Amino acid sequence: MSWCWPSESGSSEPARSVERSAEFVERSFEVVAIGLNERSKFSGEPPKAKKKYFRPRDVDGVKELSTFSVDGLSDEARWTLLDAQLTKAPIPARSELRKEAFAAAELQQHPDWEPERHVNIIGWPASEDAIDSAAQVLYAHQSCVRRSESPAGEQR
Amino acid sequence: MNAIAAPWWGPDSWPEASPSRAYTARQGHARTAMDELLTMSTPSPLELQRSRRIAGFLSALEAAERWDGGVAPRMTAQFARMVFRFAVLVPTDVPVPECYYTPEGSICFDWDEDPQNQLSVMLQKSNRIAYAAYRAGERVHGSADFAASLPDELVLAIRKWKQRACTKR
Repeated sequence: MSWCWPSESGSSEPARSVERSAEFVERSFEVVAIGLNERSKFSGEPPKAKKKYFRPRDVDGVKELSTFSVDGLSDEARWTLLDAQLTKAPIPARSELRKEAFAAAELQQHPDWEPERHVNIIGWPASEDAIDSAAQVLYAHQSCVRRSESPAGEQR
Repeated sequence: MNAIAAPWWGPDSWPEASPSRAYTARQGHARTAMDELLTMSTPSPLELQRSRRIAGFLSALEAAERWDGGVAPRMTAQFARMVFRFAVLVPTDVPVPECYYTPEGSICFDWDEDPQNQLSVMLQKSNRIAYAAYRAGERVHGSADFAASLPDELVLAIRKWKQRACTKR
């Protein structure tokens, strides 16, 4: 399955091959999502992904938070996209972050499109307290959606 | 009043463990360590309150996982001492937080029920204490050697966290 390249207006263009380019790498997406494949990964009412899931992983010495661009995708397509990337599908929830959250946390989006729509969040500081501070900003800005509460979830 | 004071057994009175002695939180050894600690003296009511506090923190620790859901690392005696010390220094009217191990191997305590009023404390292997607080857009973070008391900035962050948490209730 190929995911459409989202247009600036938010609507999906016809699917096409996406290659790395300066425009591609520098692009900032409106909304990215993190899939939550276990109920223990979110809590509360309204639901929130736990803060620890906004901390980055260390990949070859570079700290990255793995997300997926959901620009231009319907609610159902967002679930399908995240289900395809995670174990234990169908996932029970997702957490979405708007680009303003990354500006507030002084982090950057780095879309590598590997797999398609994959966007790493980079620019993490070195010290653990500063990393946690940035993760707190993302946690505060998140919008968490339970599957049962979304239109696609109700159809299941 | 819950003054932030030196722990009742003193910062260095926990006996050094032999190299072969390590506590594994998942197997309840940290709780056993606490029991051993309590037999070292006759606790007063305040000390009992504090010991219950420590038990709460240790329960959180025993439930802790690595941040990615993996198995928690073995807990060393040094870490056990730091957790005891921290549990005593945090005011007793601050709820027991959620606990997990960070990718860097620190023990992290999160008070984050309210996204606009968050506090995290990380006990690091190098006997350092790191902290981060987020309060309606205001950010504070730092780290310090973890000695007999909490860093002043963290004490202030705890007070502000409590103030807002109480206002919300």
